[in-house]
Order: sequence, then structure tokens, then C-alpha cells
Amino acid sequence: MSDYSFNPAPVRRVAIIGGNRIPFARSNTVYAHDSNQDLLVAALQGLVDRYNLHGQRLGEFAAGAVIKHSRDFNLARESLLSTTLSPDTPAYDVQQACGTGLEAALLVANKIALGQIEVGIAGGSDTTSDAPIGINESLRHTLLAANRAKGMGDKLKTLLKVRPSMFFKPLLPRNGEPRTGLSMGEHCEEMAKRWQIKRLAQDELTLTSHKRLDAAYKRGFFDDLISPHRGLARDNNLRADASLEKLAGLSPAYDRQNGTLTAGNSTPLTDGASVVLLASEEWAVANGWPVLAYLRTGETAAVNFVDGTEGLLMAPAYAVPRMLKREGLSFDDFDFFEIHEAFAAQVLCTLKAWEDPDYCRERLGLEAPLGTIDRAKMNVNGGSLGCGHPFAATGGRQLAALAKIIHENGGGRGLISICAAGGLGITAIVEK
Amino acid sequence: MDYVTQIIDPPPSRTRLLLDGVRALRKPKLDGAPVLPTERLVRSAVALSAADIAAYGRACGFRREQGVPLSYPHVLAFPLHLMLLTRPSFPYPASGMVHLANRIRQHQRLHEDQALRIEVYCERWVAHPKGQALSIATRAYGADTLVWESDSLYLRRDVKDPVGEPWGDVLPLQEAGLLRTQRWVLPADLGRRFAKVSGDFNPIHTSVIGAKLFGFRRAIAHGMWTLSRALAAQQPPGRLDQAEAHCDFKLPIFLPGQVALWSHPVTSPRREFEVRNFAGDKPHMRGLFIWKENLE
Repeated sequence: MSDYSFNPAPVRRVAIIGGNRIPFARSNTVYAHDSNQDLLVAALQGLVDRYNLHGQRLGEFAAGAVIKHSRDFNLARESLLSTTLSPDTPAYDVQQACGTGLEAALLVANKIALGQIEVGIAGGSDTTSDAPIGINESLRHTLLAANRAKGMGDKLKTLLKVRPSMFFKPLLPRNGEPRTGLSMGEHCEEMAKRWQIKRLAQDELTLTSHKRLDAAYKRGFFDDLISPHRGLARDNNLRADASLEKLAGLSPAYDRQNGTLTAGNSTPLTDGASVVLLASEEWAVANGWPVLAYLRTGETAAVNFVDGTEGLLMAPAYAVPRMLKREGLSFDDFDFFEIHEAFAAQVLCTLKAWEDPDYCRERLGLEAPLGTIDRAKMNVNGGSLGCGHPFAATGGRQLAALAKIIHENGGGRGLISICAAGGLGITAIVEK
Repeated sequence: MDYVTQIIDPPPSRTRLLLDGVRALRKPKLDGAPVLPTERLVRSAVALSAADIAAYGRACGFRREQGVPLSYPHVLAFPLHLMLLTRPSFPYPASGMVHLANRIRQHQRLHEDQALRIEVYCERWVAHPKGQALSIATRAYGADTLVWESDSLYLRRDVKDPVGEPWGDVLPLQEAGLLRTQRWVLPADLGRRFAKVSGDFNPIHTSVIGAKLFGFRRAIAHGMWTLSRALAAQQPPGRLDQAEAHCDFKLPIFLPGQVALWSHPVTSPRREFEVRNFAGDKPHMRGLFIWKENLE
């Protein structure tokens, strides 16, 4: 008999009970004065209200933000303490770029599946309005050196190195991949060129995203998925009157001469937060909540984009076939696809990659192409192009919406796919 | 050719180099073909200082795990280059010499705190279409073994009937499939920052006024910074054993500014690349970076 003591109970199904998010707002609009924590608290409190979790001690709350101030070190825990959940609920932060929300859900789900907890909440929030601005690096190094110096004389001598100019050159959050210096849009522009994605196709996908999101609002789909915040009741990026003509009028944003990506067919910087309630089936029954769907599994992938071997946002193209092979599934087994639309071009590159025999063989190691995704099944209630993309909040938005569609449908299976900075891809399967 | 070896210890101070530079602003007009200087300048044991390498690495974007930068020993040889160019035996004014190209070969992995013997000498004249070029050889020995070498090509413009073998070593670059893989934003004080870690305080890099005195509208980036930045960007994680870096300098990079690295998406240890302006229509440097098994 070994001393090994990790003895999980038989794996259990993980139920998605519901979700809540605040409407997403374009950067520097209605949430301009909200911090990551303010937004996360609003989303979390909305969920607590909806599912009557006041004073309850849950297994855990896992959440994160991508653009984070150093004071946000315990963002999830601090947010939880501002809600009516029991303060005895543990919490921790997660960060996997734009995959943060979905990765947090997978972490909570895995603990439920292994019987370590019965119920938990996963989420994420992001604001680019309340972005952290650091002090000048030279000033920071000088202050740290002064702090290390022994004795007042040495401290003062070190502080004499402070120059007035240091106060006027703060460290701004960078809009680019650390290893390439290129913005995400510039990376995606290269992908669009490599895959020869036409401007019109990108604009059409964008229009569909806005139209479907608008239709979903009109039929009340989001009524039990969103709680209003700061007087905003729906995503303010949504353009119900969007048209191909208007989209065609926008000039390229990342490559003025030869580019196809515009402010229309790319997601804008967005503020927002979302959370999802996950539980064991026993907990759902005991608390009288129907199960919307089950979070079956997840898969993450990463690609080498640094030397240009692969496009920055192509990792989901690798994660999905790996996950399908492991689960013995094909695209035909799916009724819904929730593909995060960072850029219309990135969605189209991924779809094209899965249809390309050479790419599927050489890069993905598949004998035959993965297949074509029926657009009628993809992002049926709109996507990030319509509602915006507060980085860490996108996974929770997609997961809750997909679970609800499956529930409304009376069952089915859905795929979630999110591309993220650093060449990451996070995917999951939801079913009932 | 017989060289006269001269041990240089300690290396000349920054002030000394500057004064020599000023003195060498003018040289008597040359009659007939130039004569190759015969001095071989030697620093017998220069330690690869970990602190200096770290500072150099930070200025060029190297990461700690990449070890001693392939281009770093050039820094140790630089004062000797300047001494050669400013000596009375050198036939042209030092300030007019343009660094045109560099070829670096590393034969063994370099380690922090290792001591190197650095030798620098004028190797040969090169006939260049734009004037008289000269190849200065730098050789670095560790325990009597050649571990690192570099050939630097300097050009004196507008010399008629240059002597020596013609310059035929043009770097290849396949245009098809070339991608913009990186963007570098270069601050106004980049020249001063690199001067501090490289010892190259040439005023065309460190100040606008200095640059204007020599005919540039703004300060320009050091060519060796551009090469180092490109190597830092493309070196895989981990230290280099055998490696080569070749570069041809083209249009100057004005500071502040931004440039891009254009290269091929291949995983082989042989990289052809070009540093261009961000739009990609003006070349600043063409290079070739080879490491490990692909050495010829």
C-alpha cells in the first residue's frame, strides 16, 4: 500500500447553473470611473441576488483581470468581500490573458468534478478606462536603491539621482505583445494576409454579430444573464443600425495602405465583468436550480508566434482538434459554436485553417480537414464584435450564454474557443 | 604581413580616445596608394564582466537566459579599433570612416567572468564601389584557443581608385514570404544609453548637435545596437555555442523613431533578416544569423 493519498471520488458532472454579467461598455464611456474591482463586484453581486446566495459559503470564487494594477493582487477575494456572499468563501486570482474567464471556470469545474468542492463561481473583469499607470522606471529603480541604502547619508545620496523629467515620463500600459512589440491588430493583420481573408467577409461577419446580438436582446435572451450597471442596460458597443455600407466606409486601422482590419471588424477596448455559477448536480437539486448544461471538458494550446512560425491568435486551431480527438467527437456532433471574435479576420483565419487539407495535415497532424462550421450555428446570439471584449470577462459571457442556448434548445452540444495574447488558445465543450 | 604587437593595458580612457579623435579629424592628403598600418593592438586578459554584460543586455533587449551576447566582445575591442583609426599610421581621418558591415563568428560558448585575449589589427584593404574600404580584424582567444572573431568593414568615401580585393560579400535575402515580425520603438536617448554600455561615445549617436556637425539631421542609432537588438530578438532561449552573425549596414536610423524586424517564419537555425522602417520600404540593416548545427 503506497502512501499516496490523492484519492479523488469518482469524477462527477459539472453543472452550469447560470451566469451574470454587467453590460459591456466601450472604454472611457459609462464605466470610466469604475475599477476592475467595482466591475467584478457588480457582476458578482448580481449573480448572488439572482440565485439567492446571500450569506452562503461557497467552495470558491476564482476570477481575474488581464490589465491589473499591483493593488489588485487579491482581486477576487477583495471583490467577494464587497458582496453579500459569506466572507468565509475562499477566492483566488487567475490570469491567462483573454482566456482568463474560461480558464477560471475550468479550474472551478475541475474541483467540483473531483469532489473537492460542491459549488463555485468563476469570472473575470477588465477595464482599460481605469488602466494602471506606473511610475517612471528610472525613478522606480532610484527609489528602490534608496530603500536598500543603509543610513540616511547613503539614502539621500541615492535620492539625488532623481531628475524632474522622471516625473513626466510615466510607464504606460503597453498595447502590444511584449516579445514582438506589435499590437494584436498588427499581428492579426499579418494573419489576414497569410490566409488571404477579404475585407468584405470580415465586414459581413461583423454585421452578423451586431444583428444577432440585437435580436437576442429584443427577444429577452439576456434578461436573466445581465444585470444593469451605472444606468446601462445593454452593451453600448452594439450598433443595431450597422450596415455593410457603413462598415465599408471605415478605413484600415493597422495598415493604412494594404490593411483589411478596421475599427468596425475589430473589437474595441471594453470595460466589463462576468461570472458563472458552477455546481455539482447534487447541489443543484438540493437548491432547486435547473441545470442549464454541463461543462464537459477543456483544452488549452499555445503556438510559437515570436518568430512568425504561427499567427499570434491561431492557438485555438490546435486546441480544438486535440480536444475533439481526446473526446472522440467531430464537428458534426456539435449544435453550437461560440468562437470569440477578437477580430473578424481571426475567426475567419481559424475557420479557413480547419478547412485547409494541407494545414490540417502539416500543422495539426490530421489525415483529413477538421471540417466546415455551419455559420448558422456559430455565435447565434452575437459575439465579441457586437458586445465588445473586456478581456477576462469574455469567457464567462460565452459560457453562460452557451449553457442557456443549450437549455433553451432542450439539449445539445456546444464548443467554446478563445484566442489570447501570448499565442494562447483556450477551448471547452458544453453539453446536455 | 608582419605585425608589430603592442600590449594595451589599461585601455585608453574615454577622454584620451576623444582627444585622439579630435586630433585625427585631419590627416595630410594622401599621395598614391594607402599603406596598411602594421600595429597589432592586444589586450591580454579582459574579463567578461557579468555586470557589464547585464547592462549591455538590457540596452539591447537580451534576456538573461541568452548568456553572453554574440556581439558583446566587440565592446571589448572597440577602444582598440578607435586607437588604430586615430593613429598617425592610419592614412585617413577617423571621423570619416563609416562602419559598413560586420561578420562575427563564435567558435565556443562564452562565459561570464571568463578572461579573453583580444587582438585587433588592420587586415586588408577592400575596393568598394563607394570608396576605399578597410577590414579590421578582431580575434578573441580564451586559453590560446580562438573562441570568437569579427571582421569589421569601414569605408572612407569618395576615394578614387581604391586598392584591394573588390567587396563581393553581399548577404542574401529572399523577399517572398518575408514578414514583419517585430516592432522596436527607439527612444531619443537610445544612443546615449548604448554609448554607456558599449563605450562608443561618437557624437553622431549621442547628441543632436553632434549629429548635425557631421551632417546628420538627428542623432542616429549605433549600427552595433541594431545588430545586437536583432540578435536578441531572434536568438532562441538558452546560450549560444557556435554561431555566426553577419550584417550590412544600410540607411541610418534616426532617433527617436521606430523600426521593424522583417524575417522569415522558419524554425531553422539560419535566419535571413532585415531591419527596415515600420512601413517596410527602407532598409536599415540586412543580416544573417546562424547558430549551432548549420555552421559551414
